[in-house]
Amino acid sequence: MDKQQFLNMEEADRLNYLNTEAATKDFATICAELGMTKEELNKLGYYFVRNKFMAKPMKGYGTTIRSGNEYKDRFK
Amino acid sequence: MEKEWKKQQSDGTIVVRTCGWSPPGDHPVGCGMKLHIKDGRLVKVEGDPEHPISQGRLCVRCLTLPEYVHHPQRVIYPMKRVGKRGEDKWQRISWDEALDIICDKIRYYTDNYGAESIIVFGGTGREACLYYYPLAFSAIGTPNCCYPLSGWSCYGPRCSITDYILGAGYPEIDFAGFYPDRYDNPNYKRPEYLVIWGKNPLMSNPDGFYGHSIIDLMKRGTKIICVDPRITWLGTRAEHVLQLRPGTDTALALGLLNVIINEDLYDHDFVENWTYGFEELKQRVQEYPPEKVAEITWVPKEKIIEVARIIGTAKPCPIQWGLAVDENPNGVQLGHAILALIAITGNLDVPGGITIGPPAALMGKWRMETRSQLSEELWAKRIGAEQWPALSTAMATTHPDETLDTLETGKPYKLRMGWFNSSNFITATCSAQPDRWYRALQSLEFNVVQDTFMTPTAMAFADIFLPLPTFAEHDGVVLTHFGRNAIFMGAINKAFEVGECKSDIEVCIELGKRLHPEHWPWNTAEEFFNDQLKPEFGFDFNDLREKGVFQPPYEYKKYEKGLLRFDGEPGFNTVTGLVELCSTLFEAWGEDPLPYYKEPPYSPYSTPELFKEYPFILTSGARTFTSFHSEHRQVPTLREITPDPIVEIHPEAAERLGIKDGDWVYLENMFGKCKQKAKLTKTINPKVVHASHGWWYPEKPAEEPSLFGVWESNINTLIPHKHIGKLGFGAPFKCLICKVYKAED
Amino acid sequence: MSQYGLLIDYEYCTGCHSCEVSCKNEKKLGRGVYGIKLAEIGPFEITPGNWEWNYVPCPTKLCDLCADRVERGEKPACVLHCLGLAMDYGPVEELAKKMAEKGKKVVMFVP
Ligand code: SF4
Ligand code: SF4
Ligand code: SF4
Repeated sequence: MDKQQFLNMEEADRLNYLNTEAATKDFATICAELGMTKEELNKLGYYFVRNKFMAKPMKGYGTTIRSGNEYKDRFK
Repeated sequence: MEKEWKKQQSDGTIVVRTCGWSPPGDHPVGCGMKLHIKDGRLVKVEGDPEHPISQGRLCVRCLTLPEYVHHPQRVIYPMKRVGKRGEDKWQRISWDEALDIICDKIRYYTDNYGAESIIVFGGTGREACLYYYPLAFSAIGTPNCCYPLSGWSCYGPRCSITDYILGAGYPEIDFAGFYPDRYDNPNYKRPEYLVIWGKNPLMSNPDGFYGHSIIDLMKRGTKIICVDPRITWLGTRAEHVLQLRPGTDTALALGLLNVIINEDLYDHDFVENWTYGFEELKQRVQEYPPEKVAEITWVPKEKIIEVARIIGTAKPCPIQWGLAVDENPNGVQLGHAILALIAITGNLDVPGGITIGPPAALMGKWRMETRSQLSEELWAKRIGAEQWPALSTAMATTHPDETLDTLETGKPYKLRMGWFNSSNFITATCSAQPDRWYRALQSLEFNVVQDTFMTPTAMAFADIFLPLPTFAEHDGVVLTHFGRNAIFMGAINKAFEVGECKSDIEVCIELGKRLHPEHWPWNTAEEFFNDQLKPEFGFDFNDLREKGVFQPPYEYKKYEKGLLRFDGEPGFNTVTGLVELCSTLFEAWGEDPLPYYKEPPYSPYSTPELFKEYPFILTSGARTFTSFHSEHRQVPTLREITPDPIVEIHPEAAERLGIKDGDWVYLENMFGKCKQKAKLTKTINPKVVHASHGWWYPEKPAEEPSLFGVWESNINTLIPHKHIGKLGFGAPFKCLICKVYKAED
Repeated sequence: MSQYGLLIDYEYCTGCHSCEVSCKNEKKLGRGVYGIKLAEIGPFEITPGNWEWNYVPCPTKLCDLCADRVERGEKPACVLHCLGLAMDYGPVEELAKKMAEKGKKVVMFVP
């Protein structure tokens, strides 16, 4: 898969894809195949931690997606 | 609270209930009060006993509000400069004319140089903090919104560290603020001990925390531990004071962790289930045994051990972190270590411990969304975003130090227009090297300043001055901690009018309607607040007025209930889903993933040669009851209580230098100098001096070069530019060196 | 009729000046004139680490114990606004009882 295809994927699918890859390949290989650097992945919110990809879902003002756990959803 | 918020008395006086937020006053503390209006004038301010947090109490800043509101020097009409910059020559104009001039300029710069050539500066703590971001992103359309304090050294670092390490809103001690019946609520547990670290909340009411809640807790039996380079009044009532060398806090935190981990005083259950990287942290703290930490911090080894044991065993024992975390190039590590202390001792999100806000801010959705009104391409031009990924991931601003560089060099592009929103930062408030900023800011071609008084910053730079109303003169919503962990939300009610002032949100709406009408459907502040409140809470602004304040219910242990993460899974909203004692993000950004101690850039140990010439450690920034940073210097009753900028110095040191109590002295170092009045006190270490910030003299000449005497006592001229931590946060405002000598002039 | 007084708990008086300023407001006093004025004792160190540092506001003869306010059923201005909740108003017998209960760092003024 190349970078553009990866970017075209839904957010949730991206993480799945990365972890399927991580089951058989090392980090450098995955990066090379995607044509992306570690920094680029980090900027998108994906981090490689102990042989697994993880996501940091909130990026300050970088996103407006809400957790769904805010006040109104919790306390009707 | 009573439903009626506005009443008329038999003598015609109108009494309006409201909650306070600067201008003037301080952070979003939102104390309850009743404003008495007679013949269009504010005649009296009276505390509101029904308010669940302040309970009738008011500090002198609100008690003197009439003096501020009706002050003869207040600017209450839009003004256009008719002389040269720095000359005190102004012409009153209408709002229409002011906005026409401004909009023409914004369009001109946007069309010719790109919107990024316009920059919005914001200040500390005022209501403007909620609006200067949308002002930039949505009303003007520039990605450049700047909080100019070197290393973003106020609140931002703590919020960011919390986001990286806990993935949550702001951590605050649990002072039963969520409960209408407060400390008596059965779900509440009184802290056994409370550690107050680098903070004096009695005077500062930080971020909206009601400072005197500490007194409430002490009366109920909570014991206090202060970490402070000075013995404060609170320190004299504390069980322990760790009187450390300024700037060495991180070593102390690591030393405390060392004892707690090695003596097995931590909460095993929490550590096993909810933290990441404990083994690594355990290894790291071995480098910080109490003996070594004692040597670094000047705090006796026995004290470190004793306090560590208390923190490890007292339940609950929250730690309240202060500005000392932010104003230190080693501060990210300090914040990390303090969060680790809180977490491994089982004090996170438990009754009487540390409460944490959910990841999305209360009433914050609109603010965040305004940022997406900018194209990615424009967003990428934000100054310093590329060079400082850690800071620009968590903060929506430019990098402050990088912004000064850009002003000086014109790289990567030239800034041409400035908008100063409630920020008087050439006074010793939120900038390092304010004299350098002052010179660099000369390059801006056109400036707008919004404030209540003609400040030194306004006098130097404003081409158009837009008058802000005080909180007594406009409608608004105050929410503590800027919504990041709001204890309550209160209605700010317009009680009367002075001149022609417009609030931050009103100016945003009017400007937005002219420049980007698609984003600004509201006609009034009330309409705007209805739209913010209704979807999130189900009530509108008028309902909030009738409620007076609204306390959202609080859930403890949110991490067990899936209330912190976007996917609804248990855990924390971090990369690993756990409290990151070892940070994946720090590692990704090229920083050590574990906390470590680094000596301040200038100190007896890092620069021993310089220290011979400048033999005092300089710390600054402690607050007084009588002012909020640079506010209030023109209020007679308050100035009578605090007439001069005070530098505290130990009598032994003063004697050596021939300085007597009340003498004016110079403080000087490699970067600058200023004059303050000596107060001799044994509450400070003989090798340390503490100076006051925020001083200017509204009674002195307004015009250049005086600018209300802004350079005379300006302590920030002694603080260097860009001496910041690896992630872009933290400047040494509280740990520099200087010499002191008697002023003969 | 019993005597009324002001009780000050100077263990918790934080020196905030709210009593002073709210009294000036209430009594419309000019600069340099006070109905109650804050005094500072200390700070000095008795033994290492053991400090004495107290604030105590002292009412003057301009203090009428806020007769008008009390009549309206309100607390005296200084008592209401006291940040430390360190002031109390009442009949001297009641205040004396409270002083005995508190047991330390408390004083009563009958201005
Ligand atoms: S803390 Fe003081 S200035 Fe702030 S709202 Fe309360 S009384 Fe007013
Ligand atoms: S009781 Fe009234 S008059 Fe007496 S000191 Fe207090 S505020 Fe002033
Ligand atoms: S108002 Fe209360 S806490 Fe403040 S100075 Fe007076 S007595 Fe002390």
